[in-house]
Amino acid sequence: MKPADHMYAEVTRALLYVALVALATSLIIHATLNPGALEELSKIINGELNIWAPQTPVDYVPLYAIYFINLIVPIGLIYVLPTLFKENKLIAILTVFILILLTLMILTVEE
Amino acid sequence: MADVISGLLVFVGLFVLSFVIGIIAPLAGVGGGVLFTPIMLGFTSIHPDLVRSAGLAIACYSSIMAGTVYFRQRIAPFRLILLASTALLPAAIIGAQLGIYVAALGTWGQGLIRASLGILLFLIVVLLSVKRVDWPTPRCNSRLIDVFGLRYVYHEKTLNRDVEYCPTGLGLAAGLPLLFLVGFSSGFFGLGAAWALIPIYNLLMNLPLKVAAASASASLAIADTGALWGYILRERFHPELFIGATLGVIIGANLGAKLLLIARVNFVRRLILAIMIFNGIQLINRGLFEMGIIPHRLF
Repeated sequence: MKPADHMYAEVTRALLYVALVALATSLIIHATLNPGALEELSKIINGELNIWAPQTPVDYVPLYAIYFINLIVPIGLIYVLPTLFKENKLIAILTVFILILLTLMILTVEE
Repeated sequence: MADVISGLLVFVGLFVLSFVIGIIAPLAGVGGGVLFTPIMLGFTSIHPDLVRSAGLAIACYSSIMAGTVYFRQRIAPFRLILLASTALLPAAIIGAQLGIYVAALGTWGQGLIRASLGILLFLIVVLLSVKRVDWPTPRCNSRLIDVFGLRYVYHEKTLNRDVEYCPTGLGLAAGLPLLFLVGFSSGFFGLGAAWALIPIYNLLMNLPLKVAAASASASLAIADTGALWGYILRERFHPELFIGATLGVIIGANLGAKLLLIARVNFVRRLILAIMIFNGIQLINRGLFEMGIIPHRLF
């Protein structure tokens, strides 16, 4: 069986490539189907905009791509957790702590 | 239509700037996020929250990318980085939340962020100039090292031999509180933190310089993921800026890493340090003006 660090590197690499392609694609789709997003950039450069929320269905495309890339680390950690438990229980417990913190962060801020 | 074209020009400009930052950052021995955030905060009017979320994204995704290479080669110790992340992650989350709160105070709060980042830039320049130790003698006799399984071996091609390394127990105990400060500054300012992590790993924890540099690159992925969720779910980002800047820096950094082999690194490094000093002065100047401490901007 592969060690946890190899497994983590492999799974995060695969996910990162998918996520970067998804980000680039979502950017093109968003800018093409919602030119308003480019107009907002003019406001941003002048400091007139500091908050962004999806307004139209196409706005969810880049949003979900960004969600996905930010889930790479938790997915990678969950994937290697059983192996980590076999390698070193203390580090595995710390990893559970990290995962709990990340999950709480995602859930509590959303409220 | 005119607004769309001007927005497109802004996007292209941001992408090109991010791309150039991505190229020159590895030549200067820093991460893209360390140049991106101060430059954008110092020389543009983009709201600090949007700049910091993009800066954090650059630091975070670059760190994930570094981990995919260094963990496989065992140049970065995975278990040590998980241990470090237990300090870095909560600190980065607190830093990000506090950063959003301070920026929401208005011009005064944004000025405080700019001025304190300007001061931090000087600290970064000093830390980048500190002499490091290439191959410290490993002292792996601490019980702490065995308990956490922090003894590692990797094959060093330049020496054509296996190198054993581990952090010292004392360095580990002393380093964890410092890691908390590093995580906080990363979340608060939206910066990468290799500039602070390399001295901690190398000089305090006694890791070989190459291991310290690789570990520093791969360390922030977990912490900055947590901090980024704070910015994203509070809607403090813009997709075009966020994605454009991230892709620009990551693509540029890949090119920069190749240029590193042929470029006159010392000249570029001095140039970047000079830019960082000027950027620091500009941030302090602008920040103090926005806070109402000085009546006029000096330049």
